[in-house]
Amino acid sequence: MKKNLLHLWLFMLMAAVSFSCSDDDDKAPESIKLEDSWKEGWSSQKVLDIAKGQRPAPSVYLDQKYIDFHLAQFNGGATYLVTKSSLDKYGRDTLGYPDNTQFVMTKAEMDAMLTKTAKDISKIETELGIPAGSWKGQEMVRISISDPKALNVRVPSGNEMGANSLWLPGGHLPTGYSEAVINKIPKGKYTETPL
Amino acid sequence: MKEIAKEAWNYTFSEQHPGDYILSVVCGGAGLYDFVIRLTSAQIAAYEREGIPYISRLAEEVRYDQTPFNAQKA
Repeated sequence: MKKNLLHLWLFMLMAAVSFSCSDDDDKAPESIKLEDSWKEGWSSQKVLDIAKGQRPAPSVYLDQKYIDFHLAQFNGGATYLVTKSSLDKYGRDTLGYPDNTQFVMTKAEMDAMLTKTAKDISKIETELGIPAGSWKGQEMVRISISDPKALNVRVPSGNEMGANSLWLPGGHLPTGYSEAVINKIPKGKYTETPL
Repeated sequence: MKEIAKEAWNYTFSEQHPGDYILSVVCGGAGLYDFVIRLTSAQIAAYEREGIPYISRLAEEVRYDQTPFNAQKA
């Protein structure tokens, strides 16, 4: 009887030790969802109701955990698409809008999107929400930035020059791809490759 | 075509023929594209009145929402 009790006690002790040593709580979640990350009293609509130019920084309405998680996706590199004719027209010394912003996607999502569309320009336009036909017949170029952190990668506020009437708070295109903003990109900080 | 004003990665404003004005605006985010419009007579009048600051404002409007300018697409 005493032996059985001792076994039971040992079993319970081992179970308790095993439970307390579990590292489930320490594991980074695979994904932090935007819908779970709004600070109290905020919503997408509330941000959109504020006029462009007056919108608050995302840290005002989004949990820092979400912001950190979102930006970590850009550690593997950032990228965007542009026409070669624009590069020829505006030059290659400094890229990005004059307000020191340039929207970018993650390298991983751009790679996946280009594979999915087989680089068909009309399909890429649809994926990125570009008006149909905008890039028709154009030579396209992919700009890649290996270290977006060095260019202050951040979640867009919606005040950026490139933020249009379809912009959504939280760092995603209406079609779902992750987006961020970086500073203007000087020569030497990017590579240019034909699509 | 005579280029009247250009700001890098913002817009290019040109006169194609006398009195025929074209505004090419850089639009978009992770995909940049040009949206090109031909100015209406009202817009030309505003340009003649206010100069380049009007063109700069017009470029912002075009960039924000192209729908109202679709009929002017050049």
